[in-house]
Amino acid sequence: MIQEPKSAGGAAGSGAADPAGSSNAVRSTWTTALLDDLLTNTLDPGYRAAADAKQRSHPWDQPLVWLGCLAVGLLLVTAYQQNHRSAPAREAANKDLITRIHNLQSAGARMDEQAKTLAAQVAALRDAQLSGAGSAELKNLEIAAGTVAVSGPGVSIEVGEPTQPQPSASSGRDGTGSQQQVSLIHDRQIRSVVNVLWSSGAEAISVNGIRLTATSAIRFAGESILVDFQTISTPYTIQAIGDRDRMLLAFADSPIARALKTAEQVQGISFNFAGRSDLRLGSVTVVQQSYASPGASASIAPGGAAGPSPTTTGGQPSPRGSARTGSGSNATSGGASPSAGKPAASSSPTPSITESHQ
Amino acid sequence: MIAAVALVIGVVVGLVFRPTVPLWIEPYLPIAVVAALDAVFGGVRAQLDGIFNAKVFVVSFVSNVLVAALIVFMGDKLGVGGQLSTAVVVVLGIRIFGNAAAIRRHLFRA
Repeated sequence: MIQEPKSAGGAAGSGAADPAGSSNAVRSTWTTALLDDLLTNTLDPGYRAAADAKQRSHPWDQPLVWLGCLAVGLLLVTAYQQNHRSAPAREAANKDLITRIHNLQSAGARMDEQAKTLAAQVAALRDAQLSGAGSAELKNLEIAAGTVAVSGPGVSIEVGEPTQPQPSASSGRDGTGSQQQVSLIHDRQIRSVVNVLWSSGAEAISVNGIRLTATSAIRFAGESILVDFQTISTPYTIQAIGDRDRMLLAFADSPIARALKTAEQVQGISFNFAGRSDLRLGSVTVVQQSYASPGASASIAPGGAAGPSPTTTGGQPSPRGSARTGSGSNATSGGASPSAGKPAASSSPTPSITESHQ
Repeated sequence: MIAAVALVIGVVVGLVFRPTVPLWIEPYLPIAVVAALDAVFGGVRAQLDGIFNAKVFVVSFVSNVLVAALIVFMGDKLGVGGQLSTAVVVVLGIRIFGNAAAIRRHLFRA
């Protein structure tokens, strides 16, 4: 070996085991011998072998080396350029995708707006044709179904992720953790809040401006909460129109409120709720009924006990009495579903919702 | 000396002509560069040791690049491409360091 282990490099310092004299201890030192070999014999053994074989030099040796070095230089600079040229290209592609997403989102919002305008026109024309009791009943049903914008007194609950990122549990240097901190508020909390509100007599609920209907689902995908397949982000504002005092009382007394209060103190999420005198909730754009068809009119009878009540996983049993008998037969698991029992809202003596077509 | 000139010429050629790399080669380029560096440092050290051999140099360069690319390719196919790349980089990195240390001892006697 050319290289004397002078312990100059540090890495080769411990590699003083003599491979020749260790025949009796081959097995025990086999793995370390492999590492020693890796650390000490860094030169390709071919050079030594070729030198020992005393090969004559060929006339093509020099051009060969020349070509080899040329190839190395080419490779280096190509790899460098590739790395630095493809980075802007990737960024451009990313930006392009982002702009396309934004364009499609705004186009979707525009069409949404248009659909709402048209729906309002349809409703206005229909109201002009209809008269009296039928119209009032229809309006109540529309409020329950969420197809019209509504306003009225209610409560507003705001839950937000902590502004200061929580110290993550993952070990490692600063800045090596994932940029996106694990969110503390999940769909379950939002769902529980919504369920408590439904069960305490809310007549219309929206989450971050998305009105909940009978088929709404609050779900969790990746790191974000989806309401009816629309992503919402912190802070989450849940607004409910209904009997303000009763909803406030029921909510303040609910397990989810206590859990959120604890989380506020321990984990630093923001959480507050208050009664509001005038809330405005938007409407859902399109209500497509794929399977349900109009049947007997019994289901819309005032005070009709038919139909399941909203799910009450939030804990509070429904205080609504006879109007809400059947409990918790929730078809969409995990979805906050006011279900077909919503027309019961129309049976309350003084509906606190006033319709407002937009 | 002539090798260094060739290296510089290679760099200049690359800068001037800006060769485009086919997309399927792109993942193997970084690992090929590390393998090529290993061959270069080995060659320089052999030169300083006085046992340089052109054939060994070229063959080790080509085979290093090919084998490194092959390992990464196989790793990609088996789903352990990242880990195998790490293994290749670690082994070649150790060799590069060892050779660089030997070259340093030759040049500076330290």
